[in-house]
Amino acid sequence: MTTEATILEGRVWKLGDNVLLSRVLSPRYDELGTMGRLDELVGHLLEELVPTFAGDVRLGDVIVTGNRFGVGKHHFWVIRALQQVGVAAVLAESMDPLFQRESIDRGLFALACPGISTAVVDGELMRLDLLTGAGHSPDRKQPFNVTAPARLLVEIAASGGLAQYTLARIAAQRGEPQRK
Amino acid sequence: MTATMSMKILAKAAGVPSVTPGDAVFCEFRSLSLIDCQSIAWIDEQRLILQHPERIVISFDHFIRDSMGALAASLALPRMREFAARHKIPPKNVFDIGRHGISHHVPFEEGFVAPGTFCAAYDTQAATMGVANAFVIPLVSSLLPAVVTGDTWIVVPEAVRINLHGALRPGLTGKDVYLGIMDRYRECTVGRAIEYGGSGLASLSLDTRMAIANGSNHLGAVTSLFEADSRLLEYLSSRITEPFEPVLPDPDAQYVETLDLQLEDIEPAIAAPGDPSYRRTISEVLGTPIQAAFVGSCSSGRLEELVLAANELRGRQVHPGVRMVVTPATSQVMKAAEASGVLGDLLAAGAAVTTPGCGSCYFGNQTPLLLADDEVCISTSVENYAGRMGSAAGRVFLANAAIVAASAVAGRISQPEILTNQAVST
Repeated sequence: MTTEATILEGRVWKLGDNVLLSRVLSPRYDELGTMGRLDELVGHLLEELVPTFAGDVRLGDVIVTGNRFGVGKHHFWVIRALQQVGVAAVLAESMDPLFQRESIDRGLFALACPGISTAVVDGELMRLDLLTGAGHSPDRKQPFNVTAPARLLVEIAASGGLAQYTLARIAAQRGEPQRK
Repeated sequence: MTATMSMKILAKAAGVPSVTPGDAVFCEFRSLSLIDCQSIAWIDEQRLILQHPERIVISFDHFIRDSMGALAASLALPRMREFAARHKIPPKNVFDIGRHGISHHVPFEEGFVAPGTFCAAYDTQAATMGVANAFVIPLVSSLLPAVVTGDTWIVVPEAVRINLHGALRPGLTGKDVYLGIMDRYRECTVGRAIEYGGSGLASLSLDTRMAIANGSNHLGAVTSLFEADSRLLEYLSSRITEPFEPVLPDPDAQYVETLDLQLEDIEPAIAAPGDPSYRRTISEVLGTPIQAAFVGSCSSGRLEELVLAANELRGRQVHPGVRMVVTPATSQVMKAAEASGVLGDLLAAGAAVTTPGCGSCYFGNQTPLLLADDEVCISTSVENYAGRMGSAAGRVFLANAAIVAASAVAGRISQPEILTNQAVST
């Protein structure tokens, strides 16, 4: 894991509190995922809450949200869709544990960083070191600090997900050299 | 000492003296339960060896339709049998046809989930097994690494304590309780473990406790677990042979919230189509015409709910415009329903009783209920998202088994006798 892998640099899409997972991507589109039609699926991301999201989202963008993000329907096409459009992280004051687990295991940073929702502004660029919680807003030339998330979760997601992390762990237990 | 039950269980499973909320640790599980239709290819592609095959339990339950492709039952069941044999998972741990049932009910019935232990299951509703005073979490993409290593990561959660008082009124179920908790306390439960205890616990059957714990992930909780009492320990006494140690919270355990729930205050719960959190009172939906009715699922497929439905149906007939499907949660539940005459009552009323498992809950599965466009179903099942029980243009209301059965007879959403009589008597 390189240091760069745990530093986020991207544009902020801010959401509020209590965003249900079914409002990020309606389960009515699950079938598009099952059928492998990801290009159509991603067009429905946040279609009711932020109608411009699907058209404007860019590689490296970060979703910043408030308390209790991601409760409800545990359909995981939403994570695949967020990764497909290049979202680098979902950062929240607090979030649903199963959404977090599934995202981390698939290599998407989904992390509770208390303080994040007041530290950044919608639409601005942000830089955040996930290992320390030290952040910076280049647009406003404003440094900020949030509570750093659990290091283990950052490491699992940064390694590409739990499968890759586990292979490295097994190799280490066997005394094999780490794969690059 | 200020440890919650969750902290004690996770510290033991992590092999450390103590843990604090926020700690991220790897915990060894006592059992890990698989369903019939998850992909297992990665383990063989990577040529990995299971470090603890004796901890793995497999139960056939979803029976997914052929239209779901590679996960369809016709392909999945043979694949799971072959996987179990090749990886030396003990045959007694594989609940194949005849012993099958919901993958997070069967391990509890069969003694794979001991008080004071950390366990896991593939199904998102795994917390149901918190009935056993165990800390049980669902694993999805965590599953295959965990199958190999015998452990998985977890962030130790803060815990909310819910003290139960009194007793439920007749005709109400664990489903009504967790939807009632959603109404009252959802903002407290997200990202936390819910620990249940209190003087009212003794009044609740194990079936009801399972249904309450089943609601865990719709409350956004990491899991839910109950204190152990004599009812639980008596149930497990013939099912678990190895020693185990139930846990209690320390007297000064540090809960982030301590809530008191008077069980008499729980009302019949209805969820409107789209999300279990779209809450309605029964009076708001009375009279809504239905074409399908379902009693079953991991939320409401225990004997207690089947009895509730049978009591409502006895001596009556399901409305000719309604197809009613009943699916016992497990083979053990089905046998008990047969022995007690409940199965006969359901069949006599015109309900179709299917093989145990998840029934119609998961995209309709291989059951006769599958919703067509614009059809309306009332269901005891877990989720009611668009498409969950067939067509995305179908609509699913959630309610308890008595309401579902009464509605199936009337052809429209109706108040069951057991609740109507109470209203008269009070």
